[in-house]
Amino acid sequence: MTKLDPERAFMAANSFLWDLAKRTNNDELKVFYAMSSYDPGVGSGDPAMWYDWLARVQKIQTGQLIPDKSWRGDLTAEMMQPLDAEQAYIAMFEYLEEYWNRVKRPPEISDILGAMRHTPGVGTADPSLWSHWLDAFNKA
Amino acid sequence: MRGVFRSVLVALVLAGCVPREELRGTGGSGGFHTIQVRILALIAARNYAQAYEYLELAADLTQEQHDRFKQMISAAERGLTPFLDGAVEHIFRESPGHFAEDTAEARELIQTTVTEDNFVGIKAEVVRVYQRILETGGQIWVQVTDGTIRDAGRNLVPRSTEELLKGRK
Repeated sequence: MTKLDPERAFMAANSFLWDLAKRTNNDELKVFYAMSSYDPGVGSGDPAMWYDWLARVQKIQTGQLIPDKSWRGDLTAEMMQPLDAEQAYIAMFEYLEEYWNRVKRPPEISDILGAMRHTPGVGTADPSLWSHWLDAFNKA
Repeated sequence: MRGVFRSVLVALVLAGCVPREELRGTGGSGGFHTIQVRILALIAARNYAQAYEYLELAADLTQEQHDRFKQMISAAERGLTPFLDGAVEHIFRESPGHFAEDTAEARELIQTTVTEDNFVGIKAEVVRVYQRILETGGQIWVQVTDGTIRDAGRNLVPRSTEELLKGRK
């Protein structure tokens, strides 16, 4: 089973979300992407988003979450284990969902989250999204 | 058209809203909230003189809250780009690259960065990116979409133009 380190998984998530924003012409998701887009060695467009991602990865792997709006700047990728496709997808979903809650739940993101919702053993609410995700994950 | 403009203006002015948490325990029976709503309504009506007057008469405000309202009125009066209401809690938080507190000074630094001279480029098709270097060496960065500030903060180590626009697509 392919696994990606947190940095690669983050790049896969950003690639998936950008493609989704383009396909659905969703400007709110494009705004999110501008904050989240990641450059190795530099960080995310909004520097905090990289740490928000790591907080979500840590939560998936340990069950412990540093609360939103608390200091997460001490997290590092080296503290995390590689993620398989399902773990990375759940981390991506929760990462986007946390942002959505923080910015007062814009409906454009609500729609995306509804389509992305994942049920273990069943798949995503919009079945086509899972194959798009696997493409992004395997390319990363 | 005029009605649409007015609605947009009200929405933009709401950008001055403070995080919901601050509404708790600040003035008992919704005093802070009432002051906020009235001042925002006066700003939306472009009645800045009355907004200042109301602010000076308002009780139960901390000095910080007073200063923030004063900056909001002044910023609207000067036609500075407003914050999107929903983005405020994302912008002011204890995180790398951000201002930890929503203060008048932080708002002023961010809003006065949005000028054509500080424009860096467009990212992700819909986001206008601005930056400026402070005398302290820090960098204010701002992301604007549809005429409102969606994200902003302060980098202690400045990023280059290329780095600010990376992932621009």
